[in-house]
Amino acid sequence: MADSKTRKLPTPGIISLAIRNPAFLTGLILSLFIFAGGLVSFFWTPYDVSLVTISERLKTPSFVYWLGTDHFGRDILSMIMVGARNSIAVACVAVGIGLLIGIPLGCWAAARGGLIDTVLMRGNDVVFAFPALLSAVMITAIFGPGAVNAIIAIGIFNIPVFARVARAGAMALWPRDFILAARAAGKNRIQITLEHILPNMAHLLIVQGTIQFSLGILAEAGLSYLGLGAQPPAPSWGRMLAEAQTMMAIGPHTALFPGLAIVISVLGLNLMGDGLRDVLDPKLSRAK
Amino acid sequence: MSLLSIRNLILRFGRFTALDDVSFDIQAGEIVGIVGESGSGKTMTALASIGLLPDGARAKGEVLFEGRNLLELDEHAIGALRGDDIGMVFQEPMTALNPVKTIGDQVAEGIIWHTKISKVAAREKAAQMLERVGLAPSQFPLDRYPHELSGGQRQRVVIAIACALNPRLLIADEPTTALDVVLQAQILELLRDLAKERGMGLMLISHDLAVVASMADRIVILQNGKVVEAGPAKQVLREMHEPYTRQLAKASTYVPKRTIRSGGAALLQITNVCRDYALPRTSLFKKPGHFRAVDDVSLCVNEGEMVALVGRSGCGKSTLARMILALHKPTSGSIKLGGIDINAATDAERRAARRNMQIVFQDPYGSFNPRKTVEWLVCEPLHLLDQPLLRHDARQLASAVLAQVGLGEDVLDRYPHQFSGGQRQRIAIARALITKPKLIAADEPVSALDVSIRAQVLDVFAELNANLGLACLFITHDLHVARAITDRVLVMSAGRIVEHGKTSDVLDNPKSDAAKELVAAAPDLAKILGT
Amino acid sequence: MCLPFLHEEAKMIGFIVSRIVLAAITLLLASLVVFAVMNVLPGDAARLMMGISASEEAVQAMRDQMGLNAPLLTRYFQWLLGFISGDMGRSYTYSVPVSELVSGAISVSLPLAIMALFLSTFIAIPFGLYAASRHGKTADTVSMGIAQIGIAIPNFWFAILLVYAFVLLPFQAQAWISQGGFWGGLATLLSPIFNFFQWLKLPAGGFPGWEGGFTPALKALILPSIALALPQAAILARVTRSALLEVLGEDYIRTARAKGLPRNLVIRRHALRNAMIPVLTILGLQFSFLLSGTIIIENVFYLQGLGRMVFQAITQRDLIVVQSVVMLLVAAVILVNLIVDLLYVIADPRLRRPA
Repeated sequence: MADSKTRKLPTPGIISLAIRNPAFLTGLILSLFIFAGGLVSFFWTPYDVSLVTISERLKTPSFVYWLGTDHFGRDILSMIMVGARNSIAVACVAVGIGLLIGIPLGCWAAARGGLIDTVLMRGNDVVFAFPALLSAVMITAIFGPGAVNAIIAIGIFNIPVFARVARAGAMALWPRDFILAARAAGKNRIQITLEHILPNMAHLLIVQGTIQFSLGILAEAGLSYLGLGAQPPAPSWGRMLAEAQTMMAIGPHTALFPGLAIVISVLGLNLMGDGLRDVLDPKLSRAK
Repeated sequence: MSLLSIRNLILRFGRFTALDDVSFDIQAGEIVGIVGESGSGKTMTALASIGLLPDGARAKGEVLFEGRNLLELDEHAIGALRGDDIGMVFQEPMTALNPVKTIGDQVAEGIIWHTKISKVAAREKAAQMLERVGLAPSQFPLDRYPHELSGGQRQRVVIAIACALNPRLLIADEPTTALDVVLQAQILELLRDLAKERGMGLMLISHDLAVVASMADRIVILQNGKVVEAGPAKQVLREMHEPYTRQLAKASTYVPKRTIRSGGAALLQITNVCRDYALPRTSLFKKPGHFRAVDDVSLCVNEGEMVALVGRSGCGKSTLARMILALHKPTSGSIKLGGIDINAATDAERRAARRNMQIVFQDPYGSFNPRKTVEWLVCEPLHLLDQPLLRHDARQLASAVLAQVGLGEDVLDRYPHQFSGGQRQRIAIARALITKPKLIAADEPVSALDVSIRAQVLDVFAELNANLGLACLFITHDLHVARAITDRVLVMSAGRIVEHGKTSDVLDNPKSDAAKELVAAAPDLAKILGT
Repeated sequence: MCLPFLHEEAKMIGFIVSRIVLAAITLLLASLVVFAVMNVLPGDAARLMMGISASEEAVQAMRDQMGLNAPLLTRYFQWLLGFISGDMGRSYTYSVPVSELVSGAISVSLPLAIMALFLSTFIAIPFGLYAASRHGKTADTVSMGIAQIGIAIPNFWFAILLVYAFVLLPFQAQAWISQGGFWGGLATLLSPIFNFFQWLKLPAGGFPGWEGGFTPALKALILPSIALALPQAAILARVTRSALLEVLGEDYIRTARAKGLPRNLVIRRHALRNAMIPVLTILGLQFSFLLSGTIIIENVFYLQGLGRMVFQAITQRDLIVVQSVVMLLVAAVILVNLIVDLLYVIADPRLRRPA
């Protein structure tokens, strides 16, 4: 009778379920592939990324240069590996900024309601009205281009995203009976948020986190394509593509591989997010 | 030839067998009740009879409608029967209608599809049908949208859709479970009248033996996908050959053994309590109006007393319960527990008051945080103690209260999803008991449970009352529960207490209109079988 | 009968008015943010424009010229009133009125945005519907795989690849054909496609302007709009699919099926309109992404639109241009979201006539 209509919250023991989800597993493998590349680059790369060998310029992929060389004769594989560090670091910290500031704000708005909620959500609307990349361009142009400012610029726009997701998740949980029970047990709003709200919307935040991570990688690539991200000589995927664009007629492979690296990492993260959502969100899996 | 004849129907989802060799018949103009607890296969029987089995279902056997096997017909042929010769009414009226289409369009749609008459003519027919189910177009124009109607009215629209083309078979799957008793009685009467005047066969599916007994000519009792017993309703329920039938009937009319206690000192005193809710703003320039959910209520619960607060849904009883537990603040009036006004109290006083009153909710699935162990959940109210307990002592206390509700120590480290509805409701009671409260407010504590489990949970409450002298405030629309377990009853209607007195007096001899309405509407198995 | 009707009408108008007021508040707050960022945060606009090496006198003269010595609030209102009346000041780098620059850029950006929006909507919605109708089958998995890849492709990389495929490759192919061998053979096989691309003569960048004729201008926008539309289409297709699947699980779909309506008709009559409500939300949100995309794509294709203009103005520290163009773009986002809010009223009777 009433049981069938009751929405069950996800229950513990999801890691094994996630691994068995094909989308999650594919995404995990793709992401780990890129992640491992970045990690290995700390200890070893096939060639030195700052090694300019004009005689070896624009070589096509071979057993000597697996992914070929660019117009300065630098090894593209090595540059992609080192560039992965940059992309991951920027996206990671940017997501961290969003999580650390956005989630408390969203939880606060949901727990207090009323004026605080209205003010916070209006502020959110204002930030959302600014096309993210436009503001990022503004911030990096004003404070100077570079990885740190790119992180700040991307991170700021993660704050309202997480605030909104956290608020919506928390608002759906507050009227639930187990929250009422906790209130009847004399718990205050902060305790309830920490013990009941956050654990039960963690899945929403994790999924959003993977999405924002992938958007962060795309945004970083866009900024460094425009020359506003990590500065030379540090390699970045976006700038590799910007340089390759001028070489398309003679060395199209230079544009192929950095782009593929972006696609693989974003695809991997999105697939992981999708898989997690299927496993964690009972509402969507019911639609399946 | 029978109107519907189900022969040896076996239904499987993967390895799970939903229906196992089910056979029964429905004759034209006959009302057949299908009764069973959750998981008995009632709904699957209904869906098989209208050819709407979910994807992934594998069916064997025969579902013969006027001699044609629905399991073998192609989609086109079944479509021609569905809505024309077979209609169906669903459980949840709030979601059964498309929110973006008018009720007139939704009723007319099936008429147009099957009879190919013009839109104008179809709307005319739809208007007649809606009038017949009690929604006269003068009062409920055809261009109303579902959200502008109440639950009972929406269920009438669903019935109008199902009956618009005079089907020969109407299937009603728990059509009244989501409605309160008064609406239930109205909808059941409408279904019975429609079946009689149009000569329809009616398959009425319910978990409630009393509902089926009051309606059905014949009855089929299902358990775990198997037919336990089938036959003429009165005969089956009087003779009760099968133990399961007996068990069901016993559980439906179960009254726990308890000694009636005379009330002690006043425990909970509510004086002139009101609660207003702001209505949504209709204009930027006008002050929003308000709705008075609880209107000048005064009541008293004594120590060790079992009191029922009964009323139709939306009468304000749940709001009142939340105010008693200091989860909502009253707009005016005072609520005193043990002499302390809980809204004017200091923090320490309020903690003491909260220790003395706890709550048990209706939905055993929603009342626990799914990510915490039973130990954590049961111990949560210990937060109200002035001195925190050691983990070891808290654990011992938790196993002690779990023992009081009949659960062993082994449940402590498990998670809520590992338990059935009845077990969860026991855990909820244990959680309420851990601070040794004097009063438990129980908001429809058994209405989401199957009847056999309902009886067990009622036993738990009766025992606690007898052994611990615990006072309970039962909030319910189910008069049977009120009669079974309470000494005193308060009848609430439109935010006011309209009648109160000894439970047996009020229920046997109601004085107010609201109480009379409730008593008249409540299906009573004993009375039905007695007459 | 007449009175309750008026009452309902009033409720709907109340909703619309409240949406407009909210949008106006957001717009006002956004203008404050733009103004504050341009005038307070970076320190001194005049100093920024002149560079660090400029003398204090020169900077002071610049301040006077820019009106930076007036009180902040006065400057804000002057700017706001000017912006509303179409007077956005003069560009520092080009020495022309900003409004002139802006109107030129809009004639590129607006058609580009509209083309991209149409392209993505008309690809994505049928694609999403198809995937939902084949739910659980291989076609669904493959479609959603394609959509996932579409989301993961950075639009500027896609733009570079498009230029390569449509413009550079056909020329290179001719060289390969003459060389023969495997690649020559392959190129010969594909030569009809290359010939078609060559016949199209799509430019790799730049914009001839509308006064030079409709066709060349449209041709110049084809590749940029495809590059802009792809990620949007992929996201929209996924949203369409999941919204439709969600709706198909609703009870009222079963009610409609119980009337005897076949599955496809139920989808068309009952599911689509309900599923369009979340799709509309995403369309509104995507407009902001689309504008972000134009900044990069207009740079890839050397189109003098708003995106490229604001980017150049930022790098050249032409703050008067930045301030006005950013405000214009923000206003466009807020306006589009207001339109989406008002479309809800049409799509959802629960907003039109709240109970």
